[in-house]
Amino acid sequence: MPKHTDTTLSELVALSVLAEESLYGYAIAKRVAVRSDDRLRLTPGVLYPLLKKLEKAGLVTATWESVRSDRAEEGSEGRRRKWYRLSAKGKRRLAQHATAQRERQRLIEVFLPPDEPEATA
Amino acid sequence: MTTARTTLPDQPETGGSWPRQPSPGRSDAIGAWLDRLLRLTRLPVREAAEIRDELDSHLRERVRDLMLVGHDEPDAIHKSISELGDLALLAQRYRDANRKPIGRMLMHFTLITAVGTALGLSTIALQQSQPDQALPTPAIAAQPESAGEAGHLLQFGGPILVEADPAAIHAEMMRAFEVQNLNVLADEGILRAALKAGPITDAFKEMALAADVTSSQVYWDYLADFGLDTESEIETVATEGQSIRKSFEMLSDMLALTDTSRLDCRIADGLMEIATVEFFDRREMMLLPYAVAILPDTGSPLVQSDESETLTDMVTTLIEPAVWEHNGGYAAIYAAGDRLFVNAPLRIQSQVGWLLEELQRSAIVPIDSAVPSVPTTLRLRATGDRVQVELIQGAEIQRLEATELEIIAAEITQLRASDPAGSGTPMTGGPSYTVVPGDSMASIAQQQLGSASRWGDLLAANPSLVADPLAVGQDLLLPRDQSGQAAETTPLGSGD
Repeated sequence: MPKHTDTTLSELVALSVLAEESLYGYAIAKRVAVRSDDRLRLTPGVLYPLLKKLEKAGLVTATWESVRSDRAEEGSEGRRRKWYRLSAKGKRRLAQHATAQRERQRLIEVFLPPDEPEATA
Repeated sequence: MTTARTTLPDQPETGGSWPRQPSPGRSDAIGAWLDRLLRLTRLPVREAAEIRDELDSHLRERVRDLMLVGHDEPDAIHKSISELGDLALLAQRYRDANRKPIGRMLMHFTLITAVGTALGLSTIALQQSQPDQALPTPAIAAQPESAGEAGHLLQFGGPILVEADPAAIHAEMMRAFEVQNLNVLADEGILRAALKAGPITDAFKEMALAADVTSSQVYWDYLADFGLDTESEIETVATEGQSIRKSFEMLSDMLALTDTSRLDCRIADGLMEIATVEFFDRREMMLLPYAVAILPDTGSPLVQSDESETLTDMVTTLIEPAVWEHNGGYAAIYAAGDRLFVNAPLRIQSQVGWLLEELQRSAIVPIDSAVPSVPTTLRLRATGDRVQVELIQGAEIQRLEATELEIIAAEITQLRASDPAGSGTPMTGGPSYTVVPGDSMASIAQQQLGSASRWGDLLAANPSLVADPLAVGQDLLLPRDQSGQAAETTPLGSGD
């Protein structure tokens, strides 16, 4: 089912990024773009609710930090950022995801037509 | 409710120009958009505030980044907001993310069966909604004409987002379950202000506010029996933040009202009715027969010349003594042959049913478990945006939790589709499993089907199952394993 795969993939990607480093939402999205050479986009409309879901499931923990702006930005006083950190449970979930994904790939591999070279025999 | 008909909330609908506001207005555009989003999510204040802060922070940083690459401010705001996608869809995703796992699991499995008729249901709901009521953007609402939209529904993974007239959904549910009654019982609304010393009418007003109703009706004639009228005064009773239910309890205590004279309320269709427990009981009376076979000579204390009389004694002693006729109440119980007839309000019936089942389990009184076909009642308990549905068939109460009425709609279709022919899961001649103590749906699914998350399949194969709690000794039909589906149906991501 399409949605199913989307969620799993998004989750895998988000957990993987956080495994590297604790980040806040916007930075996570940027990191995904950078690591995938902009081929994969975890859009904010998907990312933020996903992070909420991960938090509710205990896969990540979140802390708020005040943003200290280096330049005067209107409305930046008292603004805060939500930082996410992978929990132990999240680490385990990421490992599960990885195993399952590799399994899936191995399985699909069986059914993919061979990668034909351009030149004819 | 705001209408989100377009994905770009600030796009001019009347042909006016984009409000190109200077910097001081920047926060207005973002703030306004966030306001609308948060209203749609209908989440508790604290959650909503956190979401707001996070998205606000994201948007400002995004706007800054976009301006750094050359966009001007209004364009940057426009673009960063539109990157968040459709307002209603985002709200839906937040609601999904916020659900308790059981809610999501219910949603998950009902979707498998809810598609076709659910589309039909949403048509009805939409058609009956008021013209000025907000409809979700077409991208989310089911398009009833095309069956191909079924895949579309599954893609969103959530129930149909329908902001429909609750009365329409009630009507549909009543039809679906062939119910005779539909009650929304006292909700767990919270008092916004204390019930202070003063006229009792003020206290009732405060309760009505907490319940979010548009009108209230106090049955003074009945309250007059207890010395209450419109001029009555009370002392400070409940503090702000207490539930309506608790407040009525405390009010009753203060007025020295006991048992069935206690104050109670019913909330339905924007109306709150206030009267005594007895008043509502009398309205909710139902007559049920329980089949009871008494074993003679069991050697138990119940062996008497007339065991049935002992049974009625037991029931009337243990279950709210004051409500029964011979104690001056209005509920009646009568044993005849192998039947126990109980004429009592719903809430008493459920206790009677439970007691008899417990007796059966203790092996003192064997009870014929077949309860004859009885009127069905659907009871909704509304709490903010959470609705608890109790489907009462005779003495059996099946509780369904739902965070939105739309989920109930999906539940209906699942229950409708739950005949073996329609479920798609082959049920004839399949293996079965007998429930032992300690079993749960998840553990059985794990053991028998290979994965705890396949409890939905178990439920689909046993449509009349009351999932919680399972009855020991119950036989469950196991669905035939769908070949090649093992990997697909083991969701790693969702719910835990």
